[in-house]
Amino acid sequence: MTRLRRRRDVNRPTFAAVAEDCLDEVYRYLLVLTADPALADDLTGATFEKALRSWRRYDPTRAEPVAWLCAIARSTALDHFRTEKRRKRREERYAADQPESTHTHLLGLSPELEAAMAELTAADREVLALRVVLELDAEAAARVLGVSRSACSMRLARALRKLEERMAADALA
Amino acid sequence: MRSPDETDVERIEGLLRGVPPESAREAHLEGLIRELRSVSAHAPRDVREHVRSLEPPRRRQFGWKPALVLVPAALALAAGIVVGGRDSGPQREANSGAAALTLESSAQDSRAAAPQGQSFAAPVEKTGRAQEWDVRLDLAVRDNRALSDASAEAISLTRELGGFVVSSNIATDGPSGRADLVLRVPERRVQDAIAQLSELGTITGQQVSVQDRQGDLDRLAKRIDTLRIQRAELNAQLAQPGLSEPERLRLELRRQRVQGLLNQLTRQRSSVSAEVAFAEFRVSLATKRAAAAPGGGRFDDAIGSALGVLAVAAAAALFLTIVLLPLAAIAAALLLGRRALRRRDDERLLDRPRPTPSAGER
Repeated sequence: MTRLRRRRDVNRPTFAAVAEDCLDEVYRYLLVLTADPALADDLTGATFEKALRSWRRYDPTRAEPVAWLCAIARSTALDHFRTEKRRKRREERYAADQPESTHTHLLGLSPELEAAMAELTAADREVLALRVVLELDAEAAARVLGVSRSACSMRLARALRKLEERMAADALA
Repeated sequence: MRSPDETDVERIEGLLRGVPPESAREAHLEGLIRELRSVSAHAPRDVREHVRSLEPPRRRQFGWKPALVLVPAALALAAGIVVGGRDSGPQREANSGAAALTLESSAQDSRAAAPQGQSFAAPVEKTGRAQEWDVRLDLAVRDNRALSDASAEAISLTRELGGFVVSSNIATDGPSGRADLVLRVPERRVQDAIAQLSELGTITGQQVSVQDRQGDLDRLAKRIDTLRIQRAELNAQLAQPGLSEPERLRLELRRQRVQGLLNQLTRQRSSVSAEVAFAEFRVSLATKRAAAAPGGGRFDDAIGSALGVLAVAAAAALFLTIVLLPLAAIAAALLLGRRALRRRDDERLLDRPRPTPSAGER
């Protein structure tokens, strides 16, 4: 057992190396998911802080580093969304509505695609980020999302179809 | 036949793997995929610096897992030392007392007094004088079964040594029990009896008293001799011829008194002789839970007590497991339900363009 762990430790990359390799990918995932660069910045930092704390539990044989980090990023983002939801519900009784900040050219895509992406739900953007932007395979993406592989593929197909429809609608408009 | 969705999924997977498009729509999809893959957003410099500055948490030398074993073991050992120390304190004193059992002597005869610290194992000095022995032994045994065995053994020992049982009273009440034996052992086997009876349990109390009766016997013997001489002289006087009737009657009465006194003193001497011939042993046996075997060290006692504490803890853990198992099942069901609700909540949260409520949604 100890020998096995030692052998695993020998093949194990360092956290610094993994962070350096995967930082941009995790940032892209969070950027596409949240559609908010400032929030993506904060969540990226929080994700790596959390990842460092649980680095000893990471098993390279079970998941690629980027998939493991994306799972942590997803959990961090969801925690943030929940907290924000509660906070905004409290605030809306007292504070005046604030205009929603809009970001354009978040991802460096064509304006049509950026606009269509902005109209998708976060869940749709998330699966596009994992499967298309980060090019994770169906197995790894499904593990991050906590769903089956076929459900993940189905979700991707639906997201792409919506994206096509939004772009077509925008073109007609 | 496959549904359009299934076909769609398979084709999209193919396009992701680099399979060439077969229709205009697939070509459009491939273009979308290619454009999305071109996203090259980089983490800002400050985020990168922040991540680089993260330091790994200080690694603990020992994790918390060894504590799961070490802490209960240490607690059990400590409890064993405390419990063992409390239980074996008087007992240990008794054992050391057994090793240093003193022979209490009556003030009548200072020669029978053994020096302080004389042990059972040390031979009691044989003086050749008549001595009356009274021995009290308080012994602790582990349980009622040991009590019964020790009582039977004590009686058997007494008979083997040529003695007899004066009284025997054995009573048990639940896990505890007590036996009170009064034994008579020939005076010449006193040492053997003390040594062998002491091994029947853990000594918790003892007293040995020796009273010298040789003076009494000597006085009685001297008095008896005097009376016999007087009786012989009276017999001789009565045998003389020519005694008047009143004189004969007076001598006769005097001889009867001497004979009566002689008989009384002879009986008294016999009684004293009988008392010194057999030593009296009052043996009290009592059960004592977790009584350590005689001669065990303090560490052995502590280990034994620690094992006892662990056994009790294990029994309590088993009981709690049985009691808590249904509660644990309910808790697990609640946990699974909570997880399902949380997943649904997550899906609901992500099922909108901006996961947090925007101004327009309020």
